[in-house]
Amino acid sequence: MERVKILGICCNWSPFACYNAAGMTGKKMPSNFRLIRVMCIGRINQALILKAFEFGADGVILLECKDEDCRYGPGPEVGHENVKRVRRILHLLGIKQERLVECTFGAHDKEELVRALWKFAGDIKAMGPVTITNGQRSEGLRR
Amino acid sequence: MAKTIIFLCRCFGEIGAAIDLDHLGERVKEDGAVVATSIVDSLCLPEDIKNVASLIRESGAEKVVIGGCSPFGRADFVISGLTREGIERENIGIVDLREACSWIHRDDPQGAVTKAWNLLAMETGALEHRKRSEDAVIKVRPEVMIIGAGPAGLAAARSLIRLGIRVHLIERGGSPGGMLNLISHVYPSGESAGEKIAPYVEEIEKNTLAVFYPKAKITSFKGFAGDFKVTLNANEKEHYIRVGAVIIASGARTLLPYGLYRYGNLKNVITQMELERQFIKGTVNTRSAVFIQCAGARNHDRPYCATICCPSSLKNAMRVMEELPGAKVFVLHRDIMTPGSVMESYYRKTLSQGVQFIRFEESTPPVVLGEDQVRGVEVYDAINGVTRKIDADLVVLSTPLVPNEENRKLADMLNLQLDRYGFFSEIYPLHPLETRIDGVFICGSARWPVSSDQAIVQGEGAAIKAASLLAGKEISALSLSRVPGVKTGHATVSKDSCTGCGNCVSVCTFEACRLQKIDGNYISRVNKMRCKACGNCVAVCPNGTMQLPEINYRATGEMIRRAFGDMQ
Repeated sequence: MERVKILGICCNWSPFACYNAAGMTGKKMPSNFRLIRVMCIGRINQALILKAFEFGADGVILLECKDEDCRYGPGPEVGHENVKRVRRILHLLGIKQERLVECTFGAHDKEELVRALWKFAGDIKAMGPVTITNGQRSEGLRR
Repeated sequence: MAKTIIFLCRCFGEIGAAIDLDHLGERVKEDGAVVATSIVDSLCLPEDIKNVASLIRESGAEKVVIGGCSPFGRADFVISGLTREGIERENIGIVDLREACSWIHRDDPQGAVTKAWNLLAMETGALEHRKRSEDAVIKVRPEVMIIGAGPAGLAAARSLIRLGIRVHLIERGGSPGGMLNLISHVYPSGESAGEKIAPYVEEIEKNTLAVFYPKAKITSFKGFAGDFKVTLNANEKEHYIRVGAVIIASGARTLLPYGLYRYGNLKNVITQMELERQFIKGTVNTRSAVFIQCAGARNHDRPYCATICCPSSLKNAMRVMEELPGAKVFVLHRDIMTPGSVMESYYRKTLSQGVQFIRFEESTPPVVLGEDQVRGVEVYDAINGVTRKIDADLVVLSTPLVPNEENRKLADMLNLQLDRYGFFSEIYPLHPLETRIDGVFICGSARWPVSSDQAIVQGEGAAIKAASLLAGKEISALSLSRVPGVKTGHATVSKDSCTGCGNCVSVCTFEACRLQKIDGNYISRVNKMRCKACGNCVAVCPNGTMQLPEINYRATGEMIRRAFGDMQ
């Protein structure tokens, strides 16, 4: 069976602290998950999210700080906006919108982070790999 | 492709146990850029670094990828060791194979090896494009401005002048002391508030390093860590000062609970602060007093516990019983909050002295009885399930501390964040007492309601943080970003391709970007000292002129491209 591929893009502060703390306590996480760490989720623009799908990700999860916790200010709001817009583009591309999600975490929410990753991994596994290879096949329209 | 050498750390078996490193070492060699791989037992001993450095020199590699523990682990040690050995920071890549791979995929060795391989490939690819921000170094002004001369501010000032640092102490009112000027005694020591604050004031007044500005107001605030430029108006006189750090110790105010428990309508319904004033004047007169806790706190609008109202209520209850023999005191509470061994023993002492405690629920608050003055209080005792009527001639409301109204203005001027209630936010939980602006620290009740004891502790803590920032003669911009494992530098902009659209200026919440007119065209300029490398400006730059050299677009794109290799 072909395994699905999940890419996480994570802010360096609360979510990465959670991820690291979860790792230190040895919480099991899906092994098909790859993480890219940036300073702030506000640094990620729509092009980078789409690039992930272009390079073979079957699901992208943005791990963000809670809105009021962002130490830079607008980070999570930029993230919400990007997810909203990229989801519209995904729909046009024929990729299920649920393949892009965002989650917010406080600095101590390691259990929540692990749970969110497993849930997302399960959801993507149920959806299977992205089937489109060119404009002719479309999973969104078949649905 | 630049020649890359990969080191895999067994971490004394922690990584080696779950990941087959020999197999992994063979696999990463398939990458054309990788000239050598080496598996080592550890990387956290000084001789390991020497060994690694000599291996790098032998192999002739330009880039180094290290698969070891997480950036929060020993990454800083490895990086600083290697930079001392002459390897440039931007050529070192740290890959987390322990926390992010070995420890979390113990049950899936196959998946763990694939993931480790992908992670190493991602970092190898990213290193190819990683560049380094230019540093900027500024001279430090070894002076500190402290806003607020309450217990926190005074403690901070005293610590700083003892360290030989010049202090500008700014006070909105006329004299130092803050809220301690308004109360008679402090808990738990029981000393008078004046006695508590006097040694601080005395030492500061004697010392020529400290300048006190009464009736002061900040009119403008510019600059960055190490060199803030402040103008203030004190006693109708303009002052211009330049300081290296700022400590906010502006405190909080007590809530006036108009409308609660008939406060403001009925004589003898007073707040704890008014009771304190009566203690100072010596006009307390009661046969039977009822203290009502959580007046305006732990409710829908203010769901927080202000932490000081229970202890101060206990203190005043005992004081009433001492000063007026025969007087009764009832404390109506929702929970008694006395954290810590000292405060808990204080509570027990109060109990043993005969103060009566009655618990009520938020849904059934006590009712104050009487037409022209207080005659009693009716309360539903939540523990015994009966309604009790207490004869009383004085009702004292324990109100929480609430943020100062000026906080918003001060926060806007200093570019700080307030929390949802209006107190100053610190960088929770990684950098206590620090704010989002480097060089600006917070302490005392400006941060969160605290007792005078804790305010003093926090003031001293903030003073040490400020002093350590100003300890060197110079500050470099790169030293300000304190991210474990990654020095992300700051945004850089190319003069040639910037179109001056101003997007970066509008998203930057640190006021680091600004437009400058050069040869008739606007271009964006980044203040390296203020930039925190969040990259929000990078995301909105329409033509990719704005970049973070360490995690630029190409490096991130390469990481995404290599994230899945040939994962099956």
